Amino acid sequence: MPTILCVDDEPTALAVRKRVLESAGYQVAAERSAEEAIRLFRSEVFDLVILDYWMPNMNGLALAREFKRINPAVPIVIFSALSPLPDETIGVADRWILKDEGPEYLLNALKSLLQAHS
Amino acid sequence: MSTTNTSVSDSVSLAPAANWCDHEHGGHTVQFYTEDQSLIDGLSRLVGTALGAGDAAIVIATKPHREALTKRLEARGLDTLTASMQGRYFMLDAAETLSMLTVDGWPDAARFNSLIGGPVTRAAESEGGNARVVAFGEMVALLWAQGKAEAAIRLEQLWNDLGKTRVFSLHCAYPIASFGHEQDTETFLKICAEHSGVIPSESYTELISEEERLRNISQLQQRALALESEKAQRKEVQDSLQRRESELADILENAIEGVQQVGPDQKILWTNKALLNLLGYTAEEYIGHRLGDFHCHQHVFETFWAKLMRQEEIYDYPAELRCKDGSVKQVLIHSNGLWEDGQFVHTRCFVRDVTDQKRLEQSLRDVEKQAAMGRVAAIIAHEINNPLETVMNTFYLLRNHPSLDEDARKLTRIADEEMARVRHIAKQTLAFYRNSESPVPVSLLHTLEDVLAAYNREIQSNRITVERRITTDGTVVTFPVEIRQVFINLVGNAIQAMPEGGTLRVTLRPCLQGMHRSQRSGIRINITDTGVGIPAAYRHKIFDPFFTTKAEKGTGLGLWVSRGIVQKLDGTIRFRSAMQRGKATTSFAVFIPTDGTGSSVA
Repeated sequence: MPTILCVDDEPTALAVRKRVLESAGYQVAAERSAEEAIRLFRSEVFDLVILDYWMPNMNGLALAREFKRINPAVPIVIFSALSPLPDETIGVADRWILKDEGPEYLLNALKSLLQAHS
Repeated sequence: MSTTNTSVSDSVSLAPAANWCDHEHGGHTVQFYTEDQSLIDGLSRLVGTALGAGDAAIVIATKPHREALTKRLEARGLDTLTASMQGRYFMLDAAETLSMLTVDGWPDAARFNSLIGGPVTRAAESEGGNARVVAFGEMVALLWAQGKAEAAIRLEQLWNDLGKTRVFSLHCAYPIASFGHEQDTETFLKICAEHSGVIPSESYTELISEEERLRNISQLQQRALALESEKAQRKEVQDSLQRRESELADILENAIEGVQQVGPDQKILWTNKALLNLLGYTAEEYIGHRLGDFHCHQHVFETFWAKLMRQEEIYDYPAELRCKDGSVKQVLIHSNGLWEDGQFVHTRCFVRDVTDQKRLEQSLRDVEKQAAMGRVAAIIAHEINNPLETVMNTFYLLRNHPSLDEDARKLTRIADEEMARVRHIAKQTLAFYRNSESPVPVSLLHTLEDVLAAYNREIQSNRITVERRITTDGTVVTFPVEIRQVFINLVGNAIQAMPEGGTLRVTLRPCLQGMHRSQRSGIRINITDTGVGIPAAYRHKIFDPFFTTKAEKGTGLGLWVSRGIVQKLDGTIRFRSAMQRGKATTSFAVFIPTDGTGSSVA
């Protein structure tokens, strides 16, 4: 099953989101800190990354750029409570998903993205 | 009597003597006098000398002068009655005689010769034809006093004409005060020119010696020169004052700012063009009316007036004035009052129009408020969406948990529906207050197709047929998220209106809106459903916030948000809903303007 790296500074949201992804059959690594996420991304193989956009210390976009620099082949989803999509995400995030779209929307989007990149 | 000459220097001698008798017999002398006493002195000497010598006299004088003369003559022991009976003394009333010899105020030659020539002839025939005749007349002075200068000159000429056919000495008199204005100078000289002798007023003739008279002449010359000089200076000052007054009047009348005077009865005394133009009234519609009638708020006007009556100086007093066309101007007023001897005379009001400035300030406040609300809305939406995601995820896991029974699963579905409402409200609120970035080219066709695709499941489950009448890609420069939100609301409403099926028709075409010079080009989008329709009772409210016909499902914000978005895009949104052949049709029409090149929008 595909492995997803999920990064969010909010622990409850991160834990529940992990369970939702796992319920869909994904293997999920969840990290709250950007530094740990980068370390993990370097050392392990992931099929997809989901990043929260608004985090303290480093926002999701900067983290996405770092991941793209390390391995540009891995698709990145920016997960946010706000829209619209800023121009700066173009070429960095493969998909921008709003948190209020709901779990089914997220799972469908991940499925499409993984299929497109397989 | 000598012939009348026209040149003053040729014929008029400035008489050194005041005694009329000393003048050549047959001449025509004019006496200017200051006091009646002086006139009577000269006249009584003239008549008394003539009658005493057995000659004849004709006196045409005013009643007071005749009475004074008669007294003088009687005091000298002269028998005027006998002289009259002998045909040597004629006394006529000046006003009555004048009225008989004039026609329409103008001396008539025939009547003059008849009325005056007769007595002159009879007087000359008295004493066996040997009597010399002296005549005095002041009809000319009466004409001058009536303002009939030309008529007076004409009468003098008639006397002179008579003098060519009869021999007699003629004397007339004018009060010198009658010639007290500069404009009398020319006529004065004309009158003098009709006489062979001119006797100055008694202030000169009373001077006895030649030396005194020469000194007097020198003084008069100096005074005349000084008067001329002073007159010139005064004229200069007057001209300067007039220019200044004109300039000041011009400044007030043509000032850009409104200026007005209001009297103690609160009625407008005067106003300048700027204020009339500002309010749209004519002078007649404004001046003379009560100032308070033009103020929108009486308490504001009353406070203003009370300050003036307390002799306060008022600066930047805000007020609203009613224009003729019903509109309102916001102004700031500077004013104080003119007070004389403790009495209020009038205001000095300066009125400045700040309507546009206030409107701009309000717009800026609205924009700032909107931006602030946008920021607040964004923060709230963010704060709502974060935990909302976790709650939705939790209920998703719960719903799919194997240990959950059907009853519990139903409860999770209720929770899902309620959370969907929360999502919707947060999304709508954020969409309305979104502080959008710069507009970008957006294909309305693609946006519409995206929205229809998003609603595909509902379209299928409601068995709705979608018809498209698309004649353009409809690319406009606009805000993509906002326009998408509008389509989501309208398509969503149309689908919800057709729970048992129907037709959803979407139209996209270029269009012109408006008439003549206000015509605009743009893209028109129609979204029409054959659903339940909008009852007539609700149609005026459907764009109101929180108005909904969808019971538990609707938030009542969709159309309000959509209209707000469309208006922000400088477009329009309209609808109609009608029953046709037992079926209702509801159509929403959205117009998004372009500039005719399809490349720009507000």
